[in-house]
Amino acid sequence: MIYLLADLLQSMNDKLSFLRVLEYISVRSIGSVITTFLMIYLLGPFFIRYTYKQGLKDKQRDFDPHLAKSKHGTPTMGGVLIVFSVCIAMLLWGDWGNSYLWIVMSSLLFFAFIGSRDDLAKVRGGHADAGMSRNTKLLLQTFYGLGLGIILYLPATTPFPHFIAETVGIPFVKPAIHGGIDIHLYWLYIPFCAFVVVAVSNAVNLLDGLDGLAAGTCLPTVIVYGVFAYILGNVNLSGYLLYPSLSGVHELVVFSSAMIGALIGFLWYNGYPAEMFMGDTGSLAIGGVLSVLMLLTKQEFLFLIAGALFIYVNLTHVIGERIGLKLLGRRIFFRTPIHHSFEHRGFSETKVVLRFSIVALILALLAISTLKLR
Amino acid sequence: MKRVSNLKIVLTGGGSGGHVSPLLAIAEALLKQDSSLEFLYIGVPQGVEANVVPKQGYKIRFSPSVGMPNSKISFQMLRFIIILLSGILTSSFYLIFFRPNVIVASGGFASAPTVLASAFLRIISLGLLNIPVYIHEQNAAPGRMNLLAAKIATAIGVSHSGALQYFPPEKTELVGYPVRSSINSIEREVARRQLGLETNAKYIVVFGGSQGARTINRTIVDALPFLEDEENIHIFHAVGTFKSSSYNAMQDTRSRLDQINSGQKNYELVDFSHDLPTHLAAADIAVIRAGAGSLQEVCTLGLPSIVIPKANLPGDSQVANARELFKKGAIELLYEEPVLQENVLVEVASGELLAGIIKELIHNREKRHELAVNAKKVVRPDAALTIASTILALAKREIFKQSSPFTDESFLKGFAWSGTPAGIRRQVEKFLDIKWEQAFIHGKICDDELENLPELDYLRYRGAALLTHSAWEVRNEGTKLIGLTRHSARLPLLCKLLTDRTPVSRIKRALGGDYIQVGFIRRNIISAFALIGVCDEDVKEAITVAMKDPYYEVRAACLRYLRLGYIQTPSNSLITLVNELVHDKNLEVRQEAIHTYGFFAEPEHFLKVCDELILDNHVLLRDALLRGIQALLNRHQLSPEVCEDISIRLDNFLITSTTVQPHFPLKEKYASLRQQLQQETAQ
Repeated sequence: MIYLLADLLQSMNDKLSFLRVLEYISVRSIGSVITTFLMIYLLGPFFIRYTYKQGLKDKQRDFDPHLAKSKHGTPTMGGVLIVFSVCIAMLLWGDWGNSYLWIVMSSLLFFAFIGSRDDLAKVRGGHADAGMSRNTKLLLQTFYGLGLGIILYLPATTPFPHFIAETVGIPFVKPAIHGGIDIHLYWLYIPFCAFVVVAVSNAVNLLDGLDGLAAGTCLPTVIVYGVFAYILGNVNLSGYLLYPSLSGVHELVVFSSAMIGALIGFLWYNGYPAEMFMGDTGSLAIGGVLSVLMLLTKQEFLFLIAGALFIYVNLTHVIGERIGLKLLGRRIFFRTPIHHSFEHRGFSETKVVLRFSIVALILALLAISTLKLR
Repeated sequence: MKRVSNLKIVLTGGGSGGHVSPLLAIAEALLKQDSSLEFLYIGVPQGVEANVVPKQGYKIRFSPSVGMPNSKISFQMLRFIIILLSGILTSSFYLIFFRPNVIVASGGFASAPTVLASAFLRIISLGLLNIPVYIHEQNAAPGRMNLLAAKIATAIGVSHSGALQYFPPEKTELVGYPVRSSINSIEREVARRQLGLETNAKYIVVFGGSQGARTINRTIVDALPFLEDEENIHIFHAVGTFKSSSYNAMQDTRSRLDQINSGQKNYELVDFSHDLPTHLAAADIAVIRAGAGSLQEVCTLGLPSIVIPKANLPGDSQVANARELFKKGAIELLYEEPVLQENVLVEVASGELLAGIIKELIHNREKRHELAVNAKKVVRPDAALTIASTILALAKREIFKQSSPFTDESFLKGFAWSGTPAGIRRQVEKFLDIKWEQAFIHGKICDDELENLPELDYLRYRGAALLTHSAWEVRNEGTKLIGLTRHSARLPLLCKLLTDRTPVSRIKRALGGDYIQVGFIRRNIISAFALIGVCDEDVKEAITVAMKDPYYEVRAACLRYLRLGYIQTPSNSLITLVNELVHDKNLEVRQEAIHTYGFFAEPEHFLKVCDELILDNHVLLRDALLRGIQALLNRHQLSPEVCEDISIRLDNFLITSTTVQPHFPLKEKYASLRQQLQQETAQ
């Protein structure tokens, strides 16, 4: 809105040309960070009261008394607040003529929708296992992933330059235009997209379980993709760092900034001891957005570094649950998801969250350091 | 308006005899009401119906189907789906060409294609081709097929009131089990004369269905020696025709007979009896399995029977049937028990017990009479006719009306334990107010806690029966049930399972598995020990072995068990084992071992452990050390010097901590206020 307004006023009157600062990426990014943070900060108390009145409270699955008993009844579905504030910020600061923005907004809303259905089912069912079935969730996510894959693949709809539409980015490997190689997946790019979307969105979902954990670990990862979006959207920088230039992708910087602001604002209330949880609405939405960000910036394999923590938590969970509990009838890891294992081993929740956030930050720095290493 | 064409009826169901004979009985009753009916039987080619149905003069067509495999993702599952889909298509063609007015299904996988085809046709014709479906459930616990079919069905009839809870009440009625009128046609006196029986002879008929039942065959042979001194009995034993690589009914029975070398004179062994109705008519006592059909036959005849239900069928249907009749005093019940034979658990029923029940029945005329009267009360002789009129009403598109609305609420309350093994276990946990995870905190279950548990015998039986199941999840639930019902008679069996070292498949071992009785089962056996609270030599020995178990949770559980103090004076070797586990590679085991060591160790030995651990990195180990010292102090045997020594060491104790217990003053005040208010209102 502000973007369009600035554009309009400039064209009407030359004296208003100073308004073009409002079109700068940097100004709009900072604007959206502040917008989302302030919105959550201001709306938070009302939201907590409202959700509590509506009975949208957390239902604990774990019956271990010293683990989570004290959290029963904390208002949940804080993800709605995140999604709402990001939407408002993008309405204010976004350039809605940009197709990247439309795609990433669609993922935000779609995954928030899945998550909210799940949350509501849990609340109505009265316990943590009453949520949407695993298969329904997977089906919806796959459905979205395939749709996205088709849009990115078809020349008519893809926002990418068509010669790299179905390539994937690998850290340390230069693209063909800078004398390296492009890795083409051809039509396999569509299932690949679905895989990335499903895997990443569920990975974030699993990490949500301690106060401030999901927000604290996602924050550095979102920053990484924001940085990459800025570089790829800038012709000079991308040329200098030997990346393919994706014109228009800079709009994702504004979006990432909105996410960052929202996550910080959410942490304000979600830090231990939490006053609200994000619920599946939040964790699925953040996961969905992350997966789309990495697809749109062509940095899918960077997640192996930036998201190593997520991958670790998920791998251990899958091994522990599927192979250990279901097949062998024994525990392989002490508890899964692995952050609960740390808790059982005598680390307080705050400590686990802090250490996980530190690890996520270090991994984010490593991921950014790959910029020049190619 | 008068109908020009005859009414047409499709019968479907089968696979085993239990689903076919009720259908034939229904068909017979239908013909009695309207002789112009046309029938088509749709079955599976491999089922009993392929032989039986054409002999009765009904037209039969086949559509392929197989039983649903248990594993969710497997080759068998894929095969099942493909066969089922082709079956649905085949059945759809039969239905389109035959155009029946109603479909009558009796359950079993053979009925799956036709019932699903009717739903399929209903959907693709947008409701134009809507053939009503009538379902009859014979068992007290319905099969998977009928549970699914209930959603498609227009009306459902059940044989047992126990099955009512599984179906939508608005379309379900209790009708009983349809039996063919021929079953009652043979006079007892005629039959006895035919078989040449003396008037005072007690004729006992033993049969486990046409295929035969291993448990029944073996149990009756085991019972023979105990019956030797009975003069007037005559046993007729139909072993069945079952032959496979692992069990050949006739051979197995013969060799067992040779082994016991019984002098029993009046014992007649046949493999298959073609005139079983005559034998049953002449019989004084029957020994049978709890299939719905067999039960119904003996009850219709008013024949006192001893029933040995087969354990671990889907839904535990035989046990459910037998329990329901037993509760009504219509049968005598003998449960199978699991026994470890050559490292494999098999179900065995005790021959001695069987002989005891037979003897009692022979000598107790009143008891026999009572059983006979109650048995006749259970059956509904008009079942087939009731079903037939409902089906005709459906065929004529009249609205379904329940003839006998279900009001037997008291029965449902009595039938407390139903559902999956895990479901039953959770019900028991709730009843006893014990969480399995807190078995060690709870310790031994008291007598008065168990006293109120309804049907304790059944629960104990069920727990033991589950141990023979092939899936470890189910065996695990069995272990828990045994512990929760404090079934101390099963302790030797649990000890054997705990120390059983039969390995799992190579693939599972590569992934980290170890023995057939998986880690969780072994761990839970020790929890069960804690709840049972009896420690004999067997248990002691098993615990000693389990202290070296490869799975850490088992070792940790052993140490927790030691702390409960059931072992009064642990041997030195046991204490040495605890000391070894203090240096285990697993954190949880070390923790438990340090704590437990404080209970048993000599103070001097424990001081050594103190020296190692006062500066340990890991907070939980230091925590365990403090608990161990506490335990040491609680023994009140310490000399002042040792106390001094401990104090000196504690001076150097590293007291930084990463654990914290959250404390929410607001929530505490809130909770206490709520409690106070509740008390006020109660007064």
